[in-house]
Amino acid sequence: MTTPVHLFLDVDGGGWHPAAWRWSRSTPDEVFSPGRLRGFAVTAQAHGLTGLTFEDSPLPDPRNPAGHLDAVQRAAFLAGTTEAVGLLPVAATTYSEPFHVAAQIASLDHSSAGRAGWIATTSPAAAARGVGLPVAQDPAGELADVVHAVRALWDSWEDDAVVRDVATGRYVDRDRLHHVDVDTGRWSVKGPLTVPRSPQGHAVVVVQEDDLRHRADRSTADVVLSGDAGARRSPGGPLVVLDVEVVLDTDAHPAVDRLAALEARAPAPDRGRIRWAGSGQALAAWLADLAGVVDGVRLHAAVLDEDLSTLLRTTFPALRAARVLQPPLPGATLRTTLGLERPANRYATGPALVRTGGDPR
Amino acid sequence: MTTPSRDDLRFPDAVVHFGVFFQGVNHSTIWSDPRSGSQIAHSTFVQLVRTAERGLFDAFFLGEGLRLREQRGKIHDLDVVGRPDALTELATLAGLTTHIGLVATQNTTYNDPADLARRLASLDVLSGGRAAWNVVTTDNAWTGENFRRGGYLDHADRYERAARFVRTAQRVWDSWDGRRFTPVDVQDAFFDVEFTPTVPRSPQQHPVLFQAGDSPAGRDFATRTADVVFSRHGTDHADALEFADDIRRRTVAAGRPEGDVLVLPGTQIVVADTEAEVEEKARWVLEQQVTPATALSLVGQVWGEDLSHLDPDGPLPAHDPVITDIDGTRGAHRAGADARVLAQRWRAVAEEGGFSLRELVLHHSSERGFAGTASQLADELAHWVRSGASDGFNITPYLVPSGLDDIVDQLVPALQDRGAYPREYAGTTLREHLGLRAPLTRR
Ligand SMILES: Cc1cc2nc3c(=O)[nH]c(=O)nc-3n(C[C@H](O)[C@H](O)[C@H](O)COP(=O)(O)O)c2cc1C
Repeated sequence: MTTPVHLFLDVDGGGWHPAAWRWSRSTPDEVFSPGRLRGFAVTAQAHGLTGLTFEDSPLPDPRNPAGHLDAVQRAAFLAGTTEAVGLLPVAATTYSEPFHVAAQIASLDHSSAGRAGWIATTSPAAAARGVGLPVAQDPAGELADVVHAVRALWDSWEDDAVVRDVATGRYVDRDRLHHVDVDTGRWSVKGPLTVPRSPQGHAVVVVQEDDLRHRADRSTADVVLSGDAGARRSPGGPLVVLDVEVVLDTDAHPAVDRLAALEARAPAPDRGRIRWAGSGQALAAWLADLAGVVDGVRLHAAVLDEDLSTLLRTTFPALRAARVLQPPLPGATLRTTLGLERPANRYATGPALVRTGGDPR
Repeated sequence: MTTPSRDDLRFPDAVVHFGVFFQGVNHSTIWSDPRSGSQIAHSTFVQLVRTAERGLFDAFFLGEGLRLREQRGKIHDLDVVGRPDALTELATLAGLTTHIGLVATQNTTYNDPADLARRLASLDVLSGGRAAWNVVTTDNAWTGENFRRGGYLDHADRYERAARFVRTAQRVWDSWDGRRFTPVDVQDAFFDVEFTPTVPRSPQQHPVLFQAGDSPAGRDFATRTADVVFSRHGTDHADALEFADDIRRRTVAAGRPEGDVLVLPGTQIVVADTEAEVEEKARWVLEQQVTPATALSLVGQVWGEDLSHLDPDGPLPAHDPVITDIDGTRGAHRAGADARVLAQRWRAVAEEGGFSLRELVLHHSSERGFAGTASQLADELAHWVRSGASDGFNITPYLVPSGLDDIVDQLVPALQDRGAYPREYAGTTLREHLGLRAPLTRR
């Protein structure tokens, strides 16, 4: 069997290009509409995508002059009405409270029955003003520390901590709840979390390659997003997913003309991602070639309203026909779909005692 | 209950508003019964919120606590515990419902206004104008240990910080003029922040503001700032009336029209078909809630020591408590009370009633809400809102996820028959359901 290539689609705002909103069929109000989000989820599931990602920033984004909604909220909004697609919001680490982030992503994992991912990113220095904190000296170090604290909090309840032991009156076994006592010297977290361990144990942690300082930190992530066209999957290491900005031929205009027109309106900054322009079929051929080379690709559409319809008409059907997609099965966790193991709990000591009951999952 | 004449009723046309309060952590949710489902599984929340929406409840309401309770250094193991993050869970429920309001309890001590205001506004937009924020102010260094910046705040300052926090959030929500965002720049004793918001306004303009806190400072904060007070005065009519009158007085003193702040006490409702069944069911609920271990634990909190070795069917301890004040930092019940005075009072009550230790606790816990047949309850609750004791109730189901079924299937129709409950939602936003006017800063 061929190794699948997992497809992710980012659905923030009008598209990756800062001029996208001018070409969008959506009015600024519609960009936020819950109905539009639902449409993306239905599409992603129908076409066998592994996950939707939700970019975010606490600062205004030139791509979305009308603003944007919190990414965890958007992902959670779709959790109850989808059954297969992974939901991967950004939650930044630089100025956040690790305790809140851990609780939010664990909750998303509960309400999506194990389909949560977490794109852990650093924040721009200017974000410090919004929370009244000094500018972080080492955002990448902060990221590694926060992910470490969050993972510890996700282990702070063992899987079978809820015992419901009627005979002794105990709802939880306190020996299976743990203080995490993380202390970085700059901040500390006590624990345990207030949310029980979630279906995946740990949500799938996704980190941008640029945010990893050196190779040792790769253990921080389950998945690394890379903008390097030469990136290769590394057995035993985190999964490698290419970050690709696409601009596609439409019926009316070739991709190169569309890109030129967009650039004439507002030049796009280099975000360290691969940029790909051409037909939907050519994109499909390139992606099919990537199966086995990388583990997945995350697509960013230049103008979501336009490029997504090309993806739907040409790219996704061609990939399905080539059998390089492995659509997630309804009810499967994101880890299962990606072939990642459910992490063992660092605090678990041994086999469970005899229990009289448990919290049904 | 005496049936009052129509003349006693200050608000003869008032209707009862219902919310459901999912506490998440407590000993009043019965977990030992086979019908009791998971406290964390998403299906539990879906069943509850759908039942509540079928029953035209105004709101689904989640509590919050940011550290697991401990007693004498050990995690408390007797209560239902473990709950989802409120705003995240409510965003999921927004995707599964169309009308019911979604209320998140969120603390002003361990959050940042820029971040929290944005999350609340996001929920408000995603739900089409159904979000609310129950503003709580709990602070202590013990909870603060879970946070980057500690979060310790002098008790006297917490409502000051809460007021500044809410004011900053309102500025975030007011920053959208339909086309662009005005930067928010706040410099005061608590915040020094500057940022440009990114979330536009929802159909109800601002999330509805609830407040839960009972001290005079808390009541003043509520009547200056909030739309709804979530109170503990949901059992005794005279006590509730006194509280609601106080809120009305303070509302007017704050320069707002009387009735501008709704009062929704938390309560429990037990429904059964006959009076005999009511009594039996209420007793069953109580005994399931106050297990022998829970009774020993509650008495242990007052005495300040582990009493789990005592016989729950025996007497209260003969000696005095080893503590003077009940510890307020570990989430104990009756925090801050004088332990010796309370212990003396409990011993006197036990002696007079001939109560064992557990019977004494059952006696004190029995006044948790209402019990009756649907028609008795409909009369009583209608009387509460028409006499001005409250505007409705936040119901804590004693069993989840099925604990709202009989309320929706039996009590709601009985209230509707009396013209004391709506027959359809007033609109699509929470503000409309509650009959609230525009947000305070947008009038
Ligand atoms: C009915 C009610 C419900 C409350 N629910 C919560 C809650 O879910 N989470 C929380 O942290 N505090 C909660 N509180 C605590 C209040 O926010 C406040 O900290 C406490 O009442 C002390 O303030 P006070 O002195 O003004 O009463 C609640 C208070 C009341 C009265």
